[in-house]
Amino acid sequence: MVMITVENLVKTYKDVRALDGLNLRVPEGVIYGFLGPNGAGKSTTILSLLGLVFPQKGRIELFGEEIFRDGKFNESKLVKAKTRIGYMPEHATLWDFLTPVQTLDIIADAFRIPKAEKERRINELLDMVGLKDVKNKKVGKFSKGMRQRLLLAQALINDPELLILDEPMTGLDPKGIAEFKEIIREQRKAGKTVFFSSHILAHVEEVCDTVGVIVKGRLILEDSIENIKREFLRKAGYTIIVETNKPVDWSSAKWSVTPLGENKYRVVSEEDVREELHDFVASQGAKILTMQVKEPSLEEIFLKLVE
Amino acid sequence: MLWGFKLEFMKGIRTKKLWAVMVIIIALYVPAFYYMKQVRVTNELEAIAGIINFSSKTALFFLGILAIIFGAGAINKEIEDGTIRVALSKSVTRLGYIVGKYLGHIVVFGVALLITSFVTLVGLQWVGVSVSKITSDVFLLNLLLLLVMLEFLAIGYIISTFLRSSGTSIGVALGVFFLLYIFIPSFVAYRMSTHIPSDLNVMEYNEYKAEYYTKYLFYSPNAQFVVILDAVNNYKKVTKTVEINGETHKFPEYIAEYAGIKNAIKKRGINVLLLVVMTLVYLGIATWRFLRMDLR
Repeated sequence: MVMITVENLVKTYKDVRALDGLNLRVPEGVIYGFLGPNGAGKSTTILSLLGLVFPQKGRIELFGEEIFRDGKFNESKLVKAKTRIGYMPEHATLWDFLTPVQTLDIIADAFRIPKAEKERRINELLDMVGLKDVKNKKVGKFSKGMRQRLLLAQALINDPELLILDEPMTGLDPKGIAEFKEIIREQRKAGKTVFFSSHILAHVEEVCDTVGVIVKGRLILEDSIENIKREFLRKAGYTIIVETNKPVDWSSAKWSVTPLGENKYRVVSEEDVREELHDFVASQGAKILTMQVKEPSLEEIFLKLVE
Repeated sequence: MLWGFKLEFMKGIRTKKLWAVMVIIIALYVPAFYYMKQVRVTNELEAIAGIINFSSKTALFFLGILAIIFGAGAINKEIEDGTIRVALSKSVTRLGYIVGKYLGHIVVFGVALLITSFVTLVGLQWVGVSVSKITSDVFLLNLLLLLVMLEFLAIGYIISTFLRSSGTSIGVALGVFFLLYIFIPSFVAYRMSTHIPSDLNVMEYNEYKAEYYTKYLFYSPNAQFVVILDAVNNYKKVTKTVEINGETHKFPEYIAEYAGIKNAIKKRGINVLLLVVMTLVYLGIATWRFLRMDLR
């Protein structure tokens, strides 16, 4: 099943076009990284999926049901779809005067979760996000990281099939980030779909199966991270670092070569030329000691795309 | 709707809102009781007249401000904090949410005024007034105050849905309050004074004022409250004989007789209805706007 389908979505705030004909497709069971620089339209997309902002044009389907078409939400279908969604907003606080237990209790009531099931779920989630020891402390006294953890817990209270996370790791310390990633991976293991926006590429690279890159309200790339890298290498060229046992004369080579130090060279070519490099170096009576293809980071690809 | 109500009610009783409303009302009543004790009010009719006088002036003013300020931050503050995005990402409708929220506010104010009614009765007992005859009047008076508060609250909701900044909306709410509470009624009262026939007696004057205020101040909750309370007395015409320079002159005199809040509500049913209808109109405008606004 396709969990999210977005077609030609347009949203304009006064004179700013936040979404400019956005198309998006998120299949079931994947962790989808929604990448984009600040102001690209990531949050507007997420808020549109939840009926929190009103796009002017386009179409949205959740779980195969059309919830929005050309300026109008189907309220009953949207409310029904939201029973299967968990959402963690960016820059949100929860009610300061409530404790984590009270917060999760009232949110569980929105889904009419039976009392016994609710209590079990609350304890399980507080344990999962590491807030068990402070479960009766007022949220107003929480640090930013603790609030983020509670926001994640409230998103999971209804055991959602689709988890939508808007910049979820902002404000977390490295330990928190690692735990967070683990929770996301566990969701995948449980067969859940995670739609996860971020502008921090390292977070996306480690946990996501598929990445969509949005720039100025348009999706400019959507693929698996492996395919994106392969394609980038194909287009931008391979960078190979070669270390030889003695100096090599590269003047007759057909690639661009830059010396990096004693018997160390950077070779840039349009294709993967590792085998040809062996032959070339051997033809000079030398031997390759080490050879390494420098993979582009997602960050490099992203910056290139945004440019 | 129930979930929105529960959320707002929980917030209401857990925050200091409910207690703030009560403490403010009680703090306003204490000097009134103290004054009554000083001037030795022991008659229940004098006591209720004092309470009505106090309610239509001091309490109405402060409670009106409180209600409009609560309303002015009801939606936009939640947008600023992001709590509304958490709430509406759950399986609740926008309509259910805003109506539930308003109902939550009604209960919070209602409970506060109910407790205040008891405090008033205790206060009157302390002053030395026998409260058995005026208990229902005290409750009815607070019920009218609740209707006024709910109308101001609904006006606050409109402001809250049209202005994104909660800080700005509080300033605007105060401006709107003074416009509705002082400036427009003063202007209407002045216009009335230029049109009113000069030979009206007190009953005719009250009727003329009620008609005028109903027509030109139907949107102002405090004006309707004042018009309703103007009808708590019935007037009895008596002829007074005065001797001037050896000649006897007869003048009509009107003696006020307290008829009770119930009587006033009956007599000014249209104004009570206006309080309810205009609250629904204001709430309707706020809801219309809320159903269309981007919650980002």
